[in-house]
This record gives sequence, C-alpha cells and structure tokens, in this order.
Amino acid sequence: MTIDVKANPAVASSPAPRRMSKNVRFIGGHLGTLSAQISVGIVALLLWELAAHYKLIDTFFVGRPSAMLLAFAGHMTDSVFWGHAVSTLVATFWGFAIGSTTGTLAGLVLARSKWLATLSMPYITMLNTMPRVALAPLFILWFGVGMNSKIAAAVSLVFFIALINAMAGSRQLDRDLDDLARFLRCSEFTRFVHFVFPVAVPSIFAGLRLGVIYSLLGVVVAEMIAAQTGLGLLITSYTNQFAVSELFSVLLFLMLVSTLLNTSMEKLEKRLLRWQGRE
Amino acid sequence: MREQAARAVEMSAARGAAGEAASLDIDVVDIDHYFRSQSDRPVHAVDDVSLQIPQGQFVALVGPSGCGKTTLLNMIAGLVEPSSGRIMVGGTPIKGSRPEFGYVFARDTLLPWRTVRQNVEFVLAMSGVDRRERAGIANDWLKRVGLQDFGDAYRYQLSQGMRQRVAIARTLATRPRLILMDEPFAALDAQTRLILQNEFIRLWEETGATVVFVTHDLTEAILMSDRVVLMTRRPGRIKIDKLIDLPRPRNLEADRFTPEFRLSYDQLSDALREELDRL
Ligand SMILES: Nc1ncnc2c1ncn2[C@@H]1O[C@H](COP(=O)(O)OP(=O)(O)OP(=O)(O)O)[C@@H](O)[C@H]1O
Ligand SMILES: [Mg+2]
Repeated sequence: MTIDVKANPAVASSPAPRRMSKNVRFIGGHLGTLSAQISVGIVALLLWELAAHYKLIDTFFVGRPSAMLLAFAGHMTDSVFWGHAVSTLVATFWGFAIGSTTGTLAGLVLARSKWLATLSMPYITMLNTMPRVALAPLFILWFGVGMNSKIAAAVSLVFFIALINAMAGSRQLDRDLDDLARFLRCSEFTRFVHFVFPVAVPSIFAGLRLGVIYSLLGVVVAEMIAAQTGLGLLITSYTNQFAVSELFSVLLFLMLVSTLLNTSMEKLEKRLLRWQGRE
Repeated sequence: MREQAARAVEMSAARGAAGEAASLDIDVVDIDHYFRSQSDRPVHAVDDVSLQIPQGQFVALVGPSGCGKTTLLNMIAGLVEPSSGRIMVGGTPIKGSRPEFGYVFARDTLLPWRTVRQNVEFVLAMSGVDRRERAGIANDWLKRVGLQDFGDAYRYQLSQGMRQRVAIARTLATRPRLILMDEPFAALDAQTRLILQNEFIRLWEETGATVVFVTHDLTEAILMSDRVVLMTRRPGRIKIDKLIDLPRPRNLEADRFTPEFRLSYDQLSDALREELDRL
C-alpha cells in the first residue's frame, strides 16, 4: 500500500504531517469498509450456494453461484464469448463517444442561444421523458441488424443526458463572476472559455458518468432484440436454453465492466476537478 | 490574440500620446437608480446623487446596509447603467468599464479553477500585459501581499483573508488609475486588516490613483481617506461630504489619537446612528 503524500503539492507550507496522518486514517477506514462490503457479498453467495445444495431452492430457475463462477471461468477462456464481448464494448464506446460529444455540443449551443432553446425545449423535454429504449426496434429497422443499430440505440440515450447536463451546467455562472467577466471586458469567446465552460464542467461530467452506463444499456437492449453478435444476444439465447447459471455469468461480466467504466470516469473527474478540493 | 493587441492599444491611448495620463476626474451627475422587481414596485436604490471626485483623491463611501453603496460603485465601474443621470470620467460619459479601472469586489471572485498565480495572470492578460511579463509581475505582487508560497494553491485552499489578498494583488498588479473597492477588508481579522490597510495605503501613495472605497468601518474610512461621503438609508442620498484634514503619509496607529480624527469620528458616527435609528 502506498500513501499519496504528494496529493497536494500546492500546500507545501501547510503542516504536512497532519495531512498525512489524516490520509492514513482515511485509507485504513476505506479498507475496513471495503472488506466489510466484500464480506456481505460472500455471505450472500454462500447462503445462495447452501440453499441450492440442500435443495431449498430450485437451481433450474435460479442457478447456483458455483455453477455461475465455473461458467464465468469458462467464458474468460472462450474466444467465442470474447467475440460477443468485444462487439458489445466497441458499440458501447462509439455510442458513448458520439452521443456525449454531440449532446454536450448541442447543450452548450442551446444554452447560448435563447430563441433556439425556447423553440426546441418542449420537444427535447418530450423526447427526453419518452422511454427511448422503445426506439431500439425502429433503429434495427432503419440500420439493419448489426453495429450501426446498436450504436444508434446507445446514442439516443446518451445524447439527451449529455445535452441536458451541459445546458444546465452552462447556466451556473454566478453574478459575481459574471460581473468580473464584464468588468474585464472579456469577449464572448473569452467569456465562454474562461468562465462559462469551466463552471459547466462538473455538471457535464455528471452527465458523462451516467452516459457510459446508459450507452452499455442501449447496446445490450438492441442486441437482445436482434443481433448477430453481442452479450445481449448471448443473454437471450442462454435464457431460451434455461441456462440460468451461464446467464448469470454474462450479467456478472456486464456488472464488472460497468463498474470499471464508472470508476474510471470518477477517477478522471477527480483529476480534472482537483480545483474543487473534494476528497 | 487580436483581442489582446486591441487592449494594449486601448491602454496606451488612455495614457495619452506623450505618455502623459489623461485626466480621470469623476463626475457623477444627478444619479437616480431603480431596480426592477417582478413582484411589487421597483426598488429605489440611489436617490439624486451628485459627486465630483478629482484625480488622485481617496474617497471613502459609508452608509447603512442596503443604501446603495455597491450600486453606486457598480455604476462608476460601468457595470450598472443608472436609471437617470450620467457619469463622466475625464469629461466623457462612461459606457462600460475601462482598462485603467480596477475593482476589488465585495466577494473575492477568484476563478476557482485557476491557481492563485493563474488568477493574477489572467487579469493581467485581460489588461493587455504582454505574456512574457505576466509571470514576473504576478510573482512580485504575490510577494507584496505575503502569498509567495501560495502561487500554486487553488481558491478552496485559501482562507477568506488570503482570498481577499489575492483579489487586491490581482487588481493592483494592473496598475489601475481608478481603484474601486467594495469592503475589501471586511472579512479580515483585526491584525490582518491593519497590515493590509497599511500596505494598501503605502502602495496607493506610490501610484497616485483615485480610490473609491466602500466600508462599514468609520475608523478605517477616516484614517485612510481624504474625504468621507456618508449616505442616508435607502434610497441613498448624500448626507455628509467631509474632507479629512490629516497629513500624508498617514500613520494608521497614531492618527487615531489626533483631535481631527476624534471630531470627524463623532460627527460621522452621530449622523450614521441617526440614519440607523430612522425608520
Ligand atoms: N441586482 C439587484 N436587483 C434588485 N435589487 C437590487 C439589486 N442589487 C441591489 N438591489 C437593492 O438595491 C439596494 C441597494 O443595494 P446595494 O447592494 O447597493 O447596497 P449596499 O449599500 O452596498 O449595502 P451593503 O452595505 O449591505 O453591501 C438594496 O435595497 C438592494 O435590495
Ligand atoms: Mg454592498
């Protein structure tokens, strides 16, 4: 275990030892919590396994952890499974990249133009409140079975999340900073780059973090409806075969992937938003 | 970059062709100001104020809370347009702020996503200071306000007093010829306030800039300024306009025991109490 004493080079002259001991305590507490959390999971799995062992539950419908982990291990060495996984992840990446970029840009533009916002807001609200996964079959109709329809389903989810967050964020410049920008006679461009955008970044990031998860959701749903490859397809085919433990193994993989994506976004956010001083 | 070149031209034009500074006499003529409010009738903030401030004078503006001091300052800064009346600077009507103005806002208005040094440099850049000179000037001013070790700190890592010192350093670093200050020392403890008052007075005596200084502290007003303008309760009118006859350079510790200070203080505090008692 390493302790990041250099976490805050800026405060070199503030009492370093106190800071460090606080960090040590923090990490210690964190480890304590983490092991407690893991224990809860293990106990739950054990109970599930015992219940299956003593035939208290019907493994035909609910599977059993040992079988799930065995299936998981099998999947990890199975090139067919990885083919499905890569197909899902690539679509997730593109759905997120396209949806978040266009959504954020659209949000920033709408926040700047009052009349554009007034005209489009009712429609954006309606589209946003509609359960957009219902569009997935339509995308398959439009783009055919394959990568493009999956990406379209993901984009339709991510775009609006990014748009709403970017728009809300760029309205958060407070009076005081606005006065400063005006007093310094900043051009529209400077005002945007040095005031409006930095203020919006935390909100944009909150949108991106959600966007990653929703991109995965959109892709898997599209794959469950119709696909040639992908984990969503695997899920439906295992379900149809009553292979519940294998199904759980795919869900476990998806869970691990989305947790990983979410934590990386959090890490990136923390780095970029160092100036907020949140531990 | 075009923006910056334009600023540099603006600056030298303001200084006059021969390097001779153009007059910055301030002439506030018959100013009235109403703030619109959605619910009831407009708020009458400033009532028929006229005020001539010759170049180089240090004027303190005092009065009950909400009487329109900040509003008056914002109007001189070009941030608020008076409902009626006009403000002339050096004989020309003011529209928008000017590059030779500096403003220390009531709240620190540091950009939280920039370090202390970057904050100073940003204001320098906006004032048309050449990129190569900014770092040197910023370091020099951080040293002058005792923050040389905090150049890389972010806003959240600074105390109120330190933030205010950055705001002062950032403003004075551009060598403004008119300095507007809105209760710049109000958030400080007594010791730090005395240090900064002394420091500011010395820096100001070097520059010969005009100062309009809002404060709630009558002692501070009398000890630092050439003239104290006392406003009535809202809508703010000028109740007392008094020249302070203490020799320069001032001695903030010793001057408070002079008869001139005593007399001025009694007169102003009686008038202020009268305003506070009036309902
Ligand atoms: N943006 C605004 N919109 C509406 N009313 C305002 C606005 N700014 C100020 N006012 C009103 O104008 C009056 C004068 O406000 P101002 O901020 O100038 O007072 P002040 O003398 O600076 O007070 P303080 O000493 O408390 O800072 C107040 O009654 C306030 O409610
Ligand atoms: Mg005020």
